[in-house]
Amino acid sequence: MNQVPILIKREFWEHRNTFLVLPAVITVFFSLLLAGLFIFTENDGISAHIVIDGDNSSEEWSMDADDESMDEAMGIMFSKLPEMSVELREQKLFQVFHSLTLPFFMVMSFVVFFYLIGSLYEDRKDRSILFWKSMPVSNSKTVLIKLATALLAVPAVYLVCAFVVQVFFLLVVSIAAMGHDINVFEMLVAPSNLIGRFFIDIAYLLVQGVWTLPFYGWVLLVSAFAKSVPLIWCIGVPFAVTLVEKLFFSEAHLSEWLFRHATPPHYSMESPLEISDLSHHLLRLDTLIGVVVGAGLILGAIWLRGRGDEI
Amino acid sequence: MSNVVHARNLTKSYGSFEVLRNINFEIEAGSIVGLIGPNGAGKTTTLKALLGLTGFSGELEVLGQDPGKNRHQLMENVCFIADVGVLPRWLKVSDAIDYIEGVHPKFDRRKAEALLAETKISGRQKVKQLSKGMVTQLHLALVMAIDVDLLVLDEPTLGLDILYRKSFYERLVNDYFDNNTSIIISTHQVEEIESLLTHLIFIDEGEIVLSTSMEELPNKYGEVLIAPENVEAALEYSPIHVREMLGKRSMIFEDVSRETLESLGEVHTPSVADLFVAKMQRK
Repeated sequence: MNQVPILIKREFWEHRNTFLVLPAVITVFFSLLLAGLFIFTENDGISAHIVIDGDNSSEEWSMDADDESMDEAMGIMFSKLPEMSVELREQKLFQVFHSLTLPFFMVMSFVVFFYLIGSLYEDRKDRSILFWKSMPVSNSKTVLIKLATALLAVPAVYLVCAFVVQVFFLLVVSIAAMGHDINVFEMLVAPSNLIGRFFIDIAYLLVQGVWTLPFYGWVLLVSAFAKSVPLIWCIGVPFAVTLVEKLFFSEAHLSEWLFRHATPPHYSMESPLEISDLSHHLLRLDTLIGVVVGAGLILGAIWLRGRGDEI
Repeated sequence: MSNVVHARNLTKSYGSFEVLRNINFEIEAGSIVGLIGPNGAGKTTTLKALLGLTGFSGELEVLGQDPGKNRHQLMENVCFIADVGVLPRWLKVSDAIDYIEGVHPKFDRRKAEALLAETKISGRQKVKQLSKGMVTQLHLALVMAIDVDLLVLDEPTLGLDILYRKSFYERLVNDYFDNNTSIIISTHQVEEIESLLTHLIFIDEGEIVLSTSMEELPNKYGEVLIAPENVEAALEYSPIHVREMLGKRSMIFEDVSRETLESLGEVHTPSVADLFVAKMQRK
């Protein structure tokens, strides 16, 4: 029987608040904020300040609504759009829309980290491991499901929420633009390329998952190993390794390497990411070494899960 | 009959402390075995070894499998209730049913729902909203809906009040047990399960003190209420336990023939609880 769907569901039951409620709240919050920006401030002199730097200073595109109404500020912004080259327009819109996904990705990394650090620890602490282990689910499946939840399922939820906010924002801006005599589709909808960006973001999150595998593996190992406060182990051991390295070699390659793999691969705020950037990143030796190390750590976590008892 | 459990030289130690010392026992299919011993005797460790939940040395076969290697395959045919409160507190009752249905090939959803309908537990409740007794009812209902060959219960009624304890065992025997299933129950509350058992294993300080079927028990052990004039004669047969009762002495004998015992007084089979006390004090 295929146990995978119910095992993923199980993770979402346990972590409903951070996996579903939190992204939904952020989505609603941002949508209301963005809608409010356009609807409620139309005629008030509000203090909205959006500055987006271009490639060079002559192309700086700024909007300062300190003294004018939002409507006028919008007018200035919309009038500048047709003057730009197609590439620049795409880049500007990328910067605006991408900034909307960042809060989701940032919150998501915290959610995933704290989920994983407790994933093989909490049930040992509250003894429910005796129930889970009384079910015909193998240890490797248990651990890999938790990894897949962190790497695929939770990012999927946050990505879809970010996409909803982006689409909503595009809708609001498009409605606002209608009164300004520009071709909404050509100037806004097409160059923002939200659907294309959505798929690139999926690819990005997959590459990020591969890149951070050694870090996730480390967190899972600690979670399966620690008899108390796994967070201390998770941070303490690399910290101790850094100290030792600094002391004897005056450098800290190992811990720096782990830290690098703990942070998402570079995602430029300036210009849109392309698939070629991702495949390039994926094929780096550093990434491949990370996969091997990560796989080893995950095997360690599975082994510890097999031996692990209630604490 | 074939054996569902076969243990040879089962040993487990934490550091230099030996929790189990070369334990040997067999469990026949279709039996209800009481694993009885004081706290810290090694009951839980024995059960955990059977379930593949702890490492051990020695030879152990459960339903033909090595639990150390194939826990998840073994669990398709074995159910386990550890003492109360191992169901995760955040789990909703209806989700618990969905979960087991999703992972366990031998789970009968309708049976679980029918069993739960007889209790006050509703599907919308979370485990943390249930009383201790209700959590045990829930766990038992879930487990009873799984058609397995071996059911392992580790102090299943610990901390429950007498009403829940009684109904727990009644349910177990009336609704669950049939000759295809074997049950192992560990407890230190002997009286409650005495009437259910077909086999008895006493364990103390990591060693098996007694292992017998209930049928054999009267052949091996006899309790005699001895009149004062017979006391000296009786002591010749080195009783394993002596206690004063209403001015007479009650003695428990091991491996003394029925005729000899009858010459000393009225013979009956000792209760499991008395036998337990006798065996434990003798050590």
